[in-house]
Amino acid sequence: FQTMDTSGPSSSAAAQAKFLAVNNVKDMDAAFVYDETEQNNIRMSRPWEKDAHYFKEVRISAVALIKMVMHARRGGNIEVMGLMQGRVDAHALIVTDSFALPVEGTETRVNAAEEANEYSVAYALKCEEMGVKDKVLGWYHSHPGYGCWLSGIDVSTQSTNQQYQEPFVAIVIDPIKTMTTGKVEIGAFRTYPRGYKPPEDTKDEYQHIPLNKIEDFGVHCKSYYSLDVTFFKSSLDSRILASLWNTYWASTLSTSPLVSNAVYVDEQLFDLAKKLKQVQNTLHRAGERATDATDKLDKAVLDAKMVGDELLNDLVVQNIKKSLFNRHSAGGVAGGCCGGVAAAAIAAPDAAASEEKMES
Amino acid sequence: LFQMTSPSTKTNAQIIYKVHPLVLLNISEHWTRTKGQTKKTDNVFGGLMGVQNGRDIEVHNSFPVPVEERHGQLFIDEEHYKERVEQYKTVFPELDALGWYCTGVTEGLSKLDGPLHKEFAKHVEAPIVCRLITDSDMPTQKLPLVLYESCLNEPSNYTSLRGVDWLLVSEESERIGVDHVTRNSHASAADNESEVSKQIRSTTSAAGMLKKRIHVLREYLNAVDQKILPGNPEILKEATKILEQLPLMESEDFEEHFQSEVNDVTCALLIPDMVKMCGALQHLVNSMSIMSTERSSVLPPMMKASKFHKMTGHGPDLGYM
Repeated sequence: FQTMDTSGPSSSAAAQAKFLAVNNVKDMDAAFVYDETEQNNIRMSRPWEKDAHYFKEVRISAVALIKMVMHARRGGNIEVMGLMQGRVDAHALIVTDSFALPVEGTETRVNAAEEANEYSVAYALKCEEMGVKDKVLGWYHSHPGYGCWLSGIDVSTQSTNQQYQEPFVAIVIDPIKTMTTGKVEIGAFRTYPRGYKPPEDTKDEYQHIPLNKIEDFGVHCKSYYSLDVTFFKSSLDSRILASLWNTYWASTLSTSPLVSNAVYVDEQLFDLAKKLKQVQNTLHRAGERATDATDKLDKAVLDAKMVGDELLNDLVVQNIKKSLFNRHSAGGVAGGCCGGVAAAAIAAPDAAASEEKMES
Repeated sequence: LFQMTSPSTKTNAQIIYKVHPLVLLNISEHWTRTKGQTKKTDNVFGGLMGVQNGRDIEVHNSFPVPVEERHGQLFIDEEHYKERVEQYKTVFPELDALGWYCTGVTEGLSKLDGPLHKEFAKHVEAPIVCRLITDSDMPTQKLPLVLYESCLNEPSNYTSLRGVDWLLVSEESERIGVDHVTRNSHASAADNESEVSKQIRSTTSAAGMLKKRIHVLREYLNAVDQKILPGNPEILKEATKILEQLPLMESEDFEEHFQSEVNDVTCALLIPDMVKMCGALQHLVNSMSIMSTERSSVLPPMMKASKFHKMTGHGPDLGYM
């Protein structure tokens, strides 16, 4: 944070505005305003047709995100899907709301797509009646336990969307990973038009893909790119979230991530072992200079690093908890306050008992 | 399911009301959006969806409903409301309509908003009412929501509504989502921050909250002890329970088990380092192979072998890699 020089003649309102601008804290209430003329103009000029990389960022509102995460979680191991509404803002897509569709993501029933369509039309109609002008501009679905990326089917679905429903974005949420790591696993993607050759230096953040899905991932990963995902909330949201922290802090302190993540970490380690075995086999076959063995090994190193970071994180939290609550540790909070509280409490029940006697 | 008690300690012995944070955020979004579109801070209204299990009423979700004013009175679009309830039941079949919501700057229902209760009572038996307080000066200690229950004798009369306490309940996924948005919608100065330091920051701030609460408790108990404040038997009972449990924290068993767990994790932490070493070695081998093939075109064979030998201390056969 930069410190403010408040001795100048500028008014405090101007100073605050400058502070906010400098520290990037936008009043995102503006994001909820749908300017119909502006949006229609954008849709008519279609700037994304000239640039396959036009959209670079997705901004998701607090409500939209929470609804999507809860819906994905509710699906458990089944892929669920839904739609998102919002607007375009220069090179970003702003998602202000989301709603669940009553169909499963991988349904092969012929009339599943029709059902989804009917529902979304009816839902959007109700939104219009409410005066909500935000249009549907994307779809989300869940990948329970296997990470945020687009499968072959997802790529063809999204390509079709980008032909007929532009502007449109695809969002993927992994609810299993979210629950185990305690952080939302989410990715946003747009596919490239057919025949487009993406520039080689597109850096996509590495992520761990389980062995049984890696082929599907590998075949299609060059046909789309991922967008940055950021979140925003309104000022009233901020107030509610601040109050929520007053109740949530206890759960933050009482979670034992070493315990809750144990299964997930085990799975990661097994997966790592399998990948290393694969590397070893490749080396034996092709000799010590096999370059794709080296590539695979490099990826395994990154996987191992991620598991290591996760474990380190959990260990640190566990140690903090121990030093807080365990009286053996010098200067523990509970240890220090304990003595005083204990003495008071032992005396207090007597006081309470005598009060009651006096009243009765 | 994850439960937290509301700030006040009164409990309604009859029915337990629970509300999910999503409901508050939904209503907030509705109000903010309307404020943005119309540039006015009019109050907004909508329906509540949730589950009623005997004496347990849990509000899971909500949706906006269009309301218009005719002759100084408010009316809801009933068709819209009914269709919306149907839509939500299609995707969430276990939810039922439970009542309605409104916003306002005061806690009480006004003469204008109140009569809407009669409208909603046509569709829901004894509807409950949630009111989100949009007054920005309210202290952030308390969540800005008040909940009213209908009087069973006159369920459609808004003047006989009774304010009741409610519990905040969240699903784990809900809490994670809230946590994520809170942490990640700040200034991106945190770009260089590692995951570990973010985690430490949030854990220490939670520890800070714990410390504050303990101090409040200690002040209170001291005051009771010095007869400045009357003792509340409920609170005192809870406090003694906590203190009775504290000795559990110092058992030998716990120390032993904790240490063995730490040892296991520290061992496991060696794995990424070993893998990193393997990766580095592989690169080394590759570079050496490239070097040796390059030199073979320049140096006579005998010199090549001995140079290689000097560099690695091994023979040229590195097949075991």
